[in-house]
Amino acid sequence: MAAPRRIWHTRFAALDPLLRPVPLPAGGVPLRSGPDFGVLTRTVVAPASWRALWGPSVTYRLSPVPGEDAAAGVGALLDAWDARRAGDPEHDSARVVTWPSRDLAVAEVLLSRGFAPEVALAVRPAAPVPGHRVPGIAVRAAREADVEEIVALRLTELEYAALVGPSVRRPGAAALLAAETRRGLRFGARILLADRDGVAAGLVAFGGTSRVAPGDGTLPEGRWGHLGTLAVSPAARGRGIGRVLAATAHRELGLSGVRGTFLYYHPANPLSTVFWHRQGYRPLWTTWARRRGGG
Amino acid sequence: MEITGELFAAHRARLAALDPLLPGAAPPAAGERLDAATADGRRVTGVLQRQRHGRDDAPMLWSAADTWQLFPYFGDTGTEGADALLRAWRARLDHERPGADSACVVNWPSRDAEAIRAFLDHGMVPLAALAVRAGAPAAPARADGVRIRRATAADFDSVLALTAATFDYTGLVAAPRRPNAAALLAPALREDLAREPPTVWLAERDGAPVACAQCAWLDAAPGSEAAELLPPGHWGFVNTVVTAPGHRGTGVGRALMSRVHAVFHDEGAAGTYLYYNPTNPLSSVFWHRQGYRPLWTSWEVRPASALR
Repeated sequence: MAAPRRIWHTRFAALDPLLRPVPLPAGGVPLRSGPDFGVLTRTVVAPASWRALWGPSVTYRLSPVPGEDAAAGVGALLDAWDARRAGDPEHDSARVVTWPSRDLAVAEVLLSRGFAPEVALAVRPAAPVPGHRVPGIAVRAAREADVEEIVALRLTELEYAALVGPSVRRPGAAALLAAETRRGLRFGARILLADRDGVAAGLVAFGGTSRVAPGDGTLPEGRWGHLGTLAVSPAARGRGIGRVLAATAHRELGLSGVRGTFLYYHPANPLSTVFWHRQGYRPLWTTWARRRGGG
Repeated sequence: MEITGELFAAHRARLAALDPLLPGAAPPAAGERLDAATADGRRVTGVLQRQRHGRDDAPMLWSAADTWQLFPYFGDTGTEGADALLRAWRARLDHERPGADSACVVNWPSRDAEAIRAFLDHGMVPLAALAVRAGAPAAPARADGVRIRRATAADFDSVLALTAATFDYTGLVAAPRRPNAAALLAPALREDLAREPPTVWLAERDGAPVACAQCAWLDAAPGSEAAELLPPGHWGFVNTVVTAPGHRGTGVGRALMSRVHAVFHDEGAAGTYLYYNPTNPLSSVFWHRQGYRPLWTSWEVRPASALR
């Protein structure tokens, strides 16, 4: 792919040392505007699926490969995209563009066209984890017998996330969360619980580590760990339980010699942004969205 | 018309429950009244103010030239009440023709998740936040070869050059870049440098200025404007902090703030506060790690006509 390499060489490499050329999505519709080029793709999520909880049913994505002047180029592509799709997009849909978080010139163009930062992919280079304990809290691995408590915590988190980000609390959310939790526990996803007097006060779910090959894009090549949901019940917040859970997950993932860990957070969330930045994460890619109503 | 006692009491209760650091609710704002109701007939109210700034007004550094600001009162009606009010605002703007340098603004407690849903659905973005840091200073931090001292009036030019440069960057994610940024910044800087002792700190590397922190004292005394935003007490206001481009990522900012926080703490500040842009990928990370967290968020949409 010549085009993504070119934009990486001319722009991304200077913006952020962790950026790599990202391949263009396969099977999209090309969009051209003068020297600027892009690919349009459309993703539909089944309404009663696990993934439907994390965003709109229909996502229209523009993957821009602007020419020399990236900000002007992305602007021209957004305008060409608008011209192509007259009128309002359908209900429960979003138009999205994912772009390096540190590219403020392009951020300005997106903001001025009604896009808002909706999801950030954030990274934390592997680093020693400071020891931290909270009296009365014991962290332990979750078992299948904990599913009910896990679902209750995840539902609370989902309800909050649906207020401050793209998540949607759809009918059947509890059943979807339960099925996914069971499946995860069976197939190696790890969930740690913070026990307080025998009650689960918080959880962190994290995957195994996976190897990113050169050319995969998004993350630099090497082995990366992934953190999923971290939730602390509202009554137990402000005591450092989240910090203990994150530290334990980082320590466990660090044992497998990872280059770092990554996760997704919602930039409009007033709690998680502060929390994750303090745990060593910083945004690498931001997904900007212009949205239409939820489910 | 007055905002009803019942609605204002519910508004006061909402704020009190949201965040332990919020001061008591400010008295109702004066301005144009905007009324709306939820589907089940619960009444909500807003007060609309319009502020216009000329090119030589300091607020132009962070604000649009023509600003429509809403003061919402929706008590316990949550997302639905906030949404009803924002719809009424949208309808009200249909009678206006705001120009390109205009904005709709709501300044609202950062932790109100129910309100955030309504703001996002109406196309508003968290463009600025007032963040606070209470508690003890962190362990002293040092940066290689960096000396930190209080600036004096003799440093006026180098400090102004540094602070004006921040607007090249924030101009992209906050207010539009104003060509006269330095002239707009000069009067406050002169005041901060004239204070005894001055509340401006300079970091030098090999004798050359590489970073600065322009600060001030602010008294959140009962009845004052500041007391509508901050808990009562003497606060350190961290106005502008900047590291020169070639020196970023070397720990200068951290070393500088460790000094600033220690001084304000020793001199009896209740804490320090500042404004940052949550959409700024560098400063949001930096300030959160420095112990700040948002208390009030300024939700904005520019131009004003883009309110959904």
